[in-house]
Amino acid sequence: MDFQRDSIRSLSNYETYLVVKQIHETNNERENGKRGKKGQNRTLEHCNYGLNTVTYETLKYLEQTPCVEQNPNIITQFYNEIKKFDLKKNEILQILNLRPTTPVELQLIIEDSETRLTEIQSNELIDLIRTQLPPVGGSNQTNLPNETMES
Amino acid sequence: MFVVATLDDTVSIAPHLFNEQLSTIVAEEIDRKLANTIFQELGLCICLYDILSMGDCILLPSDANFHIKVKFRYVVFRPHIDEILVGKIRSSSKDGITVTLDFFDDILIPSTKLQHPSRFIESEQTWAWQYETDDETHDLVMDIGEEIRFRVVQEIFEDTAPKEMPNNNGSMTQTTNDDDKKVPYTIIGSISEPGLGLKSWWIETS
Repeated sequence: MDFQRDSIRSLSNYETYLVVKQIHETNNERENGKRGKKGQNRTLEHCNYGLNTVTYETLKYLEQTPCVEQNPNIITQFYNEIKKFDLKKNEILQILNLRPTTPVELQLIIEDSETRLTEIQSNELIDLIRTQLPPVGGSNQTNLPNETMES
Repeated sequence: MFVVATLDDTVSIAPHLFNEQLSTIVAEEIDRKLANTIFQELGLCICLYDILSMGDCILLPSDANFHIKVKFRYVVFRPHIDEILVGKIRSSSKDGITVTLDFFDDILIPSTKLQHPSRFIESEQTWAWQYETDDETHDLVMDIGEEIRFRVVQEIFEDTAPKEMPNNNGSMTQTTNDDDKKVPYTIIGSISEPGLGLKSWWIETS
């Protein structure tokens, strides 16, 4: 097995969250569906411990990060608004993943931030992050009705 | 912190799976091989992203399985150097602090890369940052389980594949012992900058 070194592309936490969540859900469904069906051998055979462990733990980690509150609309809108600061792609990605809300956090992510951003600009950027990107657990109230509807 | 990488592999499918849909079985076989393993020079493999292409199914003489060439993309945990990550403190020792991200545990912040000055409290086995204000110094303790923000400064890949065993038994056990200690993928972190360290240190009180 080999990988192509130039093929590596970054994935945002939100995208990873979607993939991992979907795998986790289909796994659960499959397990529920198979129970009681034609013998347990198949279930055992299909049970992939490595995949189950790593997706469960990744999901657990990502659920504590701001990405759970994001959606494609929020991300594209934020991306359009943030263009004027002339940030690198990597930096925007980290802003999305970490949602920095203080100047000291921002300055860690943005290389050379003192020369590239004025104080006014960096305050503007923080305001933008605060208003455009939802905080962790911030929209819990809006999520709850959906969950009850599904169940 | 996550990337997708394109990989090639030949997957072999056993006859009792022939009645299943091909793409599902191939995906399962790939995940069985890769998920939760460290791919050298690539990172920690998480799960299949998508299958790009599949070649012809090949049957070989005296083999009931069929073999198929697959090109696919895989989700991999590989933070780039200088990236900021948030994790939890797993343990502390004189050498430094180990951090866990739930799915990945081999992150070390060596004692030389802690906030300066820091000291190790022998009785509690924790590190503390000796933060100086005008008139006194405060010990900011880093307890186990606290959320910590750090910068990735180095990555170390080590090949843990079993080596060719020498003939006599005595040295064979020795090599296996050595292999146990090896960690295939270690991330070295640093918290020696303002903004890094425990998350609670840098919350604005306004």
